[in-house]
Amino acid sequence: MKYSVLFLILVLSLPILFILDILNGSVNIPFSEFLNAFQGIEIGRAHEIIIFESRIPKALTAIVCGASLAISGLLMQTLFRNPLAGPYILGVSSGAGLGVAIAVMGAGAIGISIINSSIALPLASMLGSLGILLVLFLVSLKVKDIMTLLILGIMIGSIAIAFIGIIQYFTSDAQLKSFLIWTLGSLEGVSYASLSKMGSVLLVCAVLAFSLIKSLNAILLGEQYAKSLGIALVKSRLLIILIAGSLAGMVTAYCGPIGFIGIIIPHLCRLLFQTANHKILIPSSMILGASLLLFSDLIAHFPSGGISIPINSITSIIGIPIIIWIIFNKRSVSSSF
Amino acid sequence: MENSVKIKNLSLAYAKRNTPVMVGVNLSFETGKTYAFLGENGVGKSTLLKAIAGLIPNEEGNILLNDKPLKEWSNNELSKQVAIVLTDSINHSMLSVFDFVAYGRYPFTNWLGKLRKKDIELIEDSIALCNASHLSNKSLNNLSDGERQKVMIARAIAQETPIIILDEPTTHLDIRNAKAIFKLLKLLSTKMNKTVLFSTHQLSSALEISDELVIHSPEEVRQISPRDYLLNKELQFLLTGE
Repeated sequence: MKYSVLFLILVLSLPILFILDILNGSVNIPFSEFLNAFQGIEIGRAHEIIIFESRIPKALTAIVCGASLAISGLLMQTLFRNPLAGPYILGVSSGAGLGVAIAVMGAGAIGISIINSSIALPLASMLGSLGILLVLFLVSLKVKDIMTLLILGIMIGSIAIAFIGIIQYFTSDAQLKSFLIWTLGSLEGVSYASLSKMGSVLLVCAVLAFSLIKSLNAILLGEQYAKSLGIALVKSRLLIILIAGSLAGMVTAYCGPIGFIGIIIPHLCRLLFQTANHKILIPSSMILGASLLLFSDLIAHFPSGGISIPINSITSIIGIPIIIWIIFNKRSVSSSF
Repeated sequence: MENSVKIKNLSLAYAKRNTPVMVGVNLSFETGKTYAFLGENGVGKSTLLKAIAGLIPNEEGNILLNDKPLKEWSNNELSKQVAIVLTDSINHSMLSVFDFVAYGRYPFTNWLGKLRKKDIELIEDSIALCNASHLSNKSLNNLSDGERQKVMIARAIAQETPIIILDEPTTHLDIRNAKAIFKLLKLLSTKMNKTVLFSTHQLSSALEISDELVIHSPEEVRQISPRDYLLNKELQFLLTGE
């Protein structure tokens, strides 16, 4: 019963944060006006544009990205049975970064700026992360040992970052700046069309993740126990990699790298619900991930005077103390796998 | 013969090492009997037990389960025939004893792993059989070694398989706990008619409870009754060095 109360609180926190996120920003929208806007009552044109064209897409982006990163992190931690695994450890986000770096700076070299392109940037990012994913997929067919795969993921990620560094070294200041802005991550500027694409990917991945509940739970006991319980291990692992990689790649494509959500959310859910069962962890991680990213965005826009702090800085500031706390409570955390 | 295991001319190798662990092994196991696997460390007891559980592919020869080669069994079918207790100690802090034993029902539950009334009864009975009912709500990382081993075995019992394989079930256990585990193994074969295969270094207990011994030496793997073993000075020297 304690679970359902907790779950209810989590579920209720989501619309509250969603509305707060819409109201709060460089222009504050009164709650009454927000309600009027939804009842079709005339409000100022400026406020209407802010609500429907800027705030709602941004808040929805936060929800989709938060939920995606949380599932991605949860699946990676279970797959690698490692409490510090996250969307970044597989090198998928770095791969996305490499794709973007090559595209931005390559295009810059021939005199074109693509940093504002709604097609080229996500495409480059997706291709980068899918490229890394493909490499890991092929490696996972050969290498059965899960720790080797994790180390390879880190290595591949490091190589991608090294290449990004080299590309940056040979690039113009203007191109470098636009790339760096992308690396800060942003929930803004995602169109409804892009949102619907992101939402569809999330939906498919979440359904797939749900279908893997038993496999995920069994993998927690280790490869051999999972196999002896009748789990189709190879198939399950490939699906897990595909889901976790696609979600991380998608988020990075549209919003840049957003750190730490993927790592911390699953831990928070395990601690809150005191369970290792993915039947509970998947939905609760999705909701908590969405809530935490909305909350981060709220803080990012809290300073008055039209300033907003990069979202990645906020998630780092929230996330790192939690990770340090996790490391200090290592006994209970590392024995969760 | 129902639920028999026959091993014919089996060769096994460690993964990624070309040197074979054992060559030309022939063994056969019957329902309701207990078999103790004995031999030095590293001689391949675990490898053989895992191969019988279908966890390691064999290079040559055949493992026949009910006269059907192991390779032809699907993962799910096999999980209803063979349960295994490995040496890995699972200390998961977020898993209760009940939750862990419930894993044994995985081959039988739906995609959500939903436990029916019958499953819950079976889980409780398995825990009770291992004298661990009082631990049911405890988390795995709060158990003593002896308690944990009982719970590991309870999970295998809950899997309701005709064959149970245990890799060194009494390592790290004190005398009293080890005795209790051996007693439990005997109970599984005599009362529940399971085929019990286990590896151990405790010769006297193995002689006491098992119907037959499987003795590993670097040269060969031999199946022999405890009585014949006690009469065979050569084999005793091979195993114990005395």
